[in-house]
Amino acid sequence: MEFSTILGAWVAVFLTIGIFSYLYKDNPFYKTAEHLFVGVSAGYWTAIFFWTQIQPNLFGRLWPATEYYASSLWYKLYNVFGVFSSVFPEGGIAKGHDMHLIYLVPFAMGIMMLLSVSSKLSWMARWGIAYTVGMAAGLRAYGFLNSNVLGQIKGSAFQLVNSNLPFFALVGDSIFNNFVILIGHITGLSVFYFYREHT
Amino acid sequence: MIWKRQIPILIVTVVGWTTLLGWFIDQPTIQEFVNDDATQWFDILASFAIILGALNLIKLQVQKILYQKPGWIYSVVAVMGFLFAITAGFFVKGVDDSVAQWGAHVTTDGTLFKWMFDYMFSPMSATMFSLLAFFVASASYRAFRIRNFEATLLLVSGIIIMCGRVPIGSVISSWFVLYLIVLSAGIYINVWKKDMKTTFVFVAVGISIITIAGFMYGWPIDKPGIFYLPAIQEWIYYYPNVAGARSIMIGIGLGIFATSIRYILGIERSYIGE
Amino acid sequence: MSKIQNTFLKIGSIDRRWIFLIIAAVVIVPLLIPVGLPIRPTDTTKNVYDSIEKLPVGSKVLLSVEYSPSTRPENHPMTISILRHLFKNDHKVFITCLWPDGQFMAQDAINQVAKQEFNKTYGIVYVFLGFRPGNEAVVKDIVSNLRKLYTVDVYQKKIDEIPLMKGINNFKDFDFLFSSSAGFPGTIEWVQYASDPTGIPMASGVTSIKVNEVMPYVQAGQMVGVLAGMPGAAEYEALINQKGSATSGMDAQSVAHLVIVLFIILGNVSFFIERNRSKKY
Repeated sequence: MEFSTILGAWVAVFLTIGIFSYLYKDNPFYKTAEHLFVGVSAGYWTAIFFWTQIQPNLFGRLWPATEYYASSLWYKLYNVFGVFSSVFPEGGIAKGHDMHLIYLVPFAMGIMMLLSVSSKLSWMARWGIAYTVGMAAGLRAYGFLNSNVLGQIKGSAFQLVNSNLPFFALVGDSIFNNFVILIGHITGLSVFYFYREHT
Repeated sequence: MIWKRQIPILIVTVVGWTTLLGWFIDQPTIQEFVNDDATQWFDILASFAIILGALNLIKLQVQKILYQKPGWIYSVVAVMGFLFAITAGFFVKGVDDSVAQWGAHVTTDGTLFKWMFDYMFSPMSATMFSLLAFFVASASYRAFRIRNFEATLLLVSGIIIMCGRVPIGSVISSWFVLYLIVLSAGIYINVWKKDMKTTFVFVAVGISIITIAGFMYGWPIDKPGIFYLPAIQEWIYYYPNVAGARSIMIGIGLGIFATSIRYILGIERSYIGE
Repeated sequence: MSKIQNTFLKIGSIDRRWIFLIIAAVVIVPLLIPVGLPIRPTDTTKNVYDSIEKLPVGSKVLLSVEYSPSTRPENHPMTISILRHLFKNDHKVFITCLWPDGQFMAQDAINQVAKQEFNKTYGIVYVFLGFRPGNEAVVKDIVSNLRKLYTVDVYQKKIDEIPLMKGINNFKDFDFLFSSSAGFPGTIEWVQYASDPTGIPMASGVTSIKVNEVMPYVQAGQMVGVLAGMPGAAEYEALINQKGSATSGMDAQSVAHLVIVLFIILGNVSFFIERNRSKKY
């Protein structure tokens, strides 16, 4: 068995037992494992989000390999970044995109977001946040209204007198079960209206 | 001031309206922007937001170390963990380019990043979540009390779901449940009437009726169906639960719609701290 | 009588570490000594099974994996069983992830089922598109223009060069969607932005906690069915006649549930005794 597998198994066992030790009492092993988890998670999420979106879909659109031209000013700038050859490989980024310089807009907003780590420049994150808030609001307004409101109201509508259905069935549709849903639904909704005084 | 307040509000309004109208207007330019580029920009900014979150987290840990606040030694561990993950993600792949290119290295077996996920992140994540099982058991022991009618209903339906959902519920006979109901009713009558004779007569008659009925029908495990735990739990899931969950869903849906419109109209400005 | 009452009161104020120990024991012992309790599929699980059975051979199915190692015992058996069922019925499988951890979970499932069990050819029978960040915006991207979001697959191979991706431009090119989901983003986002607006049928496997949130969609017909937690995964394993980790986990879950119910009853008995005593004095 490889050394990395054996080492990994010991690390995993140490961390697992360290976290389980919290069930007995808070202790340094647990605190160590917890803080290690926090640090590793932060780095893990940074790496994953960078490699799945920022490098292929942002940099891949700003410096695509299909339009690589070494003597152009734009790609000369790229070659300067090429010191990080893992992120900016030689010859441009080959992810199947064409060049779309409009993506400098989200790039700029993203850099502004990162600069907000400094407390003096914290306002800079507002532009990027505003974009995500606006887009999420537009998406969710439709999504929730269509599926969660209209779709659910449609699902509650049934024929009051349906001779095809039995009066009661424990599993399967029945007139009694439909009434349970309808009455429960209306009484549940009325809690939102009557529970607290509306000001 | 315009940079810090008016422009963010304008961005929310313009982007929000464009996205919302994109659901209804079939104009090619708007559709192309909303469906293709706008959502890509959102994805990119979401990634930057996550990276910002990670940086803020590490900034707090570093400040704790620099000012030697209580527990700062553990913050050193956190920062070291972060640096290890960044090294594995960006600097040390652990395999040749022929095995995995940069980008594919995050999921390819044999890379340092995959090792970190398999032997550090995954066990810690799973174990942290498993602690909940213990705390739920302890909390249910201390908190689930029959104080009033609603609490009783919560408790009884919780027990039915817990037992009926798992295979052991299907081996609990409905006759056993009937006996339990008679005994529980007997306890209630004893508390109400405070008369041992009445309680005894009630319980004796109840048990006799059930026993005679059981012998008559041959003690089928799942009949009468109305007392068979898996059947009751299915009924609870499909009907009363759906009624309650649906009303909550509609309430939340209307609330989210209203809040989204408030954001788009610029009335709600919590994202700029107002 | 008062001796019995005192015993119950003592049990009612037991140190919680004893409860932790008992829970650990009742979970570990059935895993080591399985009982083999019978598993009875419920209607919602059968509906998922029937929907996949009814798909014509060669149907294009989108499988979305959004769970992490923390809910792996519940969701992973569902993903494995669904993959087995899809490959057995010769369907084409396209795998995406809305969670970053889902990428690793999906890779494990692919290694086990597609590579080791069925020896399916990548790019011809299945393709692994991978994770993209953006929550519901990713779902919207898949619905409108998948090829702008995924220009390369998870192995960094251009999707234009993958034979299976020919003719796949957006969500409407799929015949069915299955989402193995543990939270946000997940089942609800797929219903709201993909399945409901387009009419493409979908089913989902969710953790037990999420089932009552998702059940209204099933009842309203917006989803064909749902695999509810580890019991749902075990039921699906029984339906495809291939037992896995969910089936072996059911014994432990059964005993653990019974023990928790017992704790609740003991706690209430102690509560009533204490209440009666305080009323007396």
